Amino acid sequence: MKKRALAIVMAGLMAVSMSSVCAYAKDEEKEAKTEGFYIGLSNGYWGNTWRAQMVEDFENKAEEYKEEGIISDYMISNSNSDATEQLNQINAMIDSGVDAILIDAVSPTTIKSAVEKAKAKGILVVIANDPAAYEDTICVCGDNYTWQKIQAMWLMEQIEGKGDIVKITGVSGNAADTIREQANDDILAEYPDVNVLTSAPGNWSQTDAQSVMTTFLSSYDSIDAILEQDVMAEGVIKAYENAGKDIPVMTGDYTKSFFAKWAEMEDLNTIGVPYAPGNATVALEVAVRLLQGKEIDEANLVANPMDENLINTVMVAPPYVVTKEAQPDATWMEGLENTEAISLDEAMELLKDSADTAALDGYMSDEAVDKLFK
Amino acid sequence: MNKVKKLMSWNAFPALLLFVIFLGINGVMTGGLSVSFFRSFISTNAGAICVAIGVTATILVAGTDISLGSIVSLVNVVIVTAFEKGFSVPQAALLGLLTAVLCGMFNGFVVGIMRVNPLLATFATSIAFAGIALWILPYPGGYIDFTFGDWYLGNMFGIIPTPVVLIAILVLIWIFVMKLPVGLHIYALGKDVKKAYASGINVAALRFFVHTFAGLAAGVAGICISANICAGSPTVGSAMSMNSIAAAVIGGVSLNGGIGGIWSGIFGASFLSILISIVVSANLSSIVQSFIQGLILLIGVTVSIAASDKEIKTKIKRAIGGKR
Repeated sequence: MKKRALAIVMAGLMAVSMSSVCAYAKDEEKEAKTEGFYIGLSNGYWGNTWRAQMVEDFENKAEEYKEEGIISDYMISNSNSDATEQLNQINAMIDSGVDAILIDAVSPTTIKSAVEKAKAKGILVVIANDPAAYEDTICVCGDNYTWQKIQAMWLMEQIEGKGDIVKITGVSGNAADTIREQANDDILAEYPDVNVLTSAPGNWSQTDAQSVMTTFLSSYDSIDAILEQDVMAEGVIKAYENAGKDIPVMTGDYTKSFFAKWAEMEDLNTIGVPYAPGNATVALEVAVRLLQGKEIDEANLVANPMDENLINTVMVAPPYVVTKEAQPDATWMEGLENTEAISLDEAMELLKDSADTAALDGYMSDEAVDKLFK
Repeated sequence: MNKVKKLMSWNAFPALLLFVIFLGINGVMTGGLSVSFFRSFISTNAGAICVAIGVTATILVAGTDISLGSIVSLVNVVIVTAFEKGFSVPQAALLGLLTAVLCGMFNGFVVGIMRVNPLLATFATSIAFAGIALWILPYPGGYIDFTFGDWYLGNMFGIIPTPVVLIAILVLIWIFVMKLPVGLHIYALGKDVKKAYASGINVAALRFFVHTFAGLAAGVAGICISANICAGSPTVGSAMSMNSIAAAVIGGVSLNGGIGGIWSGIFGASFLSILISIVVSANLSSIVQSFIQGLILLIGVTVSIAASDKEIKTKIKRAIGGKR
C-alpha cells in the first residue's frame, strides 16, 4: 500500500519533470501566418440564457472558421463571477499556446495580470462584449448608446414630441446603465415639450419593474409613454394588466416571450431592439483579422467606455430594429449600416426554433467586419 | 521508511497527492510545465491559499469563518482608495492589512466574547464587510501604481517569488504558535469545547485569536489579489469564502474541529486551483465543464475522506483483497 502510493507520487513527479523538458520546444514558431490560429474565449459570467447564447454563437462561428481552416481549434472557459477562477482559466489558455484570447471579464478591472502575461507572450488580447480598458488591446463591445438612442428616438416620434412620460432605468451605477441613460437624456433634451414625470431604477428585473410601474400608476393619472430599457417590458405590461388600464406607447424588450406577447396584443405599440449576444462573435471575427495582420481603420475606433483616453473600441450596433411593420426609412435608422429594420412577424420567424427566454440575436457578417479594416 | 509512513498518515497527504497528480496531468495536456506556469499559478492563487490558511485556523477550533472573502474585497478597495487619496503603495497595503486584522478582531469579539455561533456571526459580518466595500468603491475601477504589481510578480531575496514569501510569513506565524502551549490548546478546543473549558483553557481568548489570525490571512490575501490586478473591484473576493472552506476540507481538515493543519488548507486550495486549469486545458465543451469540474471535486473529496478514515480504509482493502 505504502509502495503503491509512493509509486503514484513518483509517477506524478516524473510526468511533471518530463513535461517541463518539452516546454521549451513550443515558443519558437510565432511567425505571421494567415490561418490555423488557436483561439480562446474566457467568459466571466455563466448563468443566464443571454450568456449561453453568446457562447453558442461563438462556437458556431468558430466551427465555421475551423472548417475553412482559418482557425485550427478554439477553447472556451466559463466562470461564475469568480475573478480568481477567471485568471486561472486565462493562464491555462496562455499555457495551452493560444494565438488570441477573447475576454469577457468578471469585472473590468480584475484581469490585468493575465492581460500583461498574454501580451508578454505575444498573444493578442481582445476584450469582448463588456468593455474593459487595457493598453495594446482591442475592445469589441455592444453599443449601449446607439441601442438606447434608437428606442428613445422612436418613442419621441410616437408621441410627436410632447406629453408626460415615465422612465424606468437599469441598475444605478452600472456602466451600461449610465451610458444608456446618457442616450436617453441626449434625445430628451431635443424635445422641450416632453415632461418626464418621474424616473426609478427597475434593476433590469421584471418583478422590480412591475412594482415600480404599479407605484407610478397609483401616483399619476395620465402617463402618455413609458421609456424603459431591456428585459423589464413584460413587468410593465403586467403592472398595467393588474391595474386594468390600457397600456400607452412604450419601449420594449427583445426576447422571444416578449415578441410572442406583443404579437398577441393587437393594440400594443412598442419596439424591440436586441442587445445581441452575437457581440462576442464579432470579437472573434475581428480577432481573426488582426491575427492575419490586417489593421483596423482608425475611423472605426472610438474611445473605450472605461477610459476615454484609450481609443481602441469597436462598437457593435444592434443587428435588428423590430417594429410592427418594418420601417427601414425611419429617422432612427439613419447612419446604421449594419442594422436591419424588420417587422414583428419576421422577428418571430427568426426566433421560431429558440427557447422562450432566448434573445433575438445576430452578428455582423464577415463582409461587414471586413469594412472595419483598412 | 519511518518518514514515509509519517507522510502517508499525514492529514494533508491525500490533497498533496491529488495536487501532484493533477499538476502532472496538466503538464502533459499543455505540453509542458514551464517556469512561467508556476509563477502565474502561484501569483494568481496565493490569495486563495492565504484565505484557506485563515479558514483552516478557525475550523480547527470547531468554528468557521465565512466572512474572509468579504474581508478580501474590503482590503482591495481600501488599498485602492488609500492609494488614490495620496498614500504610498506600502502605506496603502499596510492600511489594508490593518483593516483586515480589525475585521478579524471584530469577528473574534463577536464569536469569542459575545459567544455567537461562528457561522451566524461571520455570515452577518460577511454581509456587513461586503457592504462597506461596496460603499467605499461602488463600482470596479481605480488603480494602484504598477510598481505594486512588479513587486508582487517579482522575487524577494533574489530568488523566491514574492507570493511565496507572503504565504511563508503566515505559515511561520502559525508554526510559531503551534510550538507554544496555545497550539495544543487550539486542538484541545477543537476536539471538545467542554473538556477544554473544564481544563482551564481560555476559550474566549483562543477564539478571538484564531479569528484575528484568519483576518490577518485574509489581509495578506487581499494584498496578493490587489497587487495581481492593480485595480479595485468591490466583489473580487466574493467567491473565496466558500471555496476556502471546501479547500480546507479537501485538505483533510475535519469540520468537527481538532483534525488537520495549516498544510491542509494550502494543498487543498492548490488542488482546487489546478483543477480549474485542467478543465480549461482539456478543452471540453462549455456545457460539460462545470459538470466535470464538480465530478473531479467529488471524487477528490471522497478519496481524501476515505484515505483519512481508518475504518473505510480497511474495508476497501478487504474488498480489493489486498494483503495486510
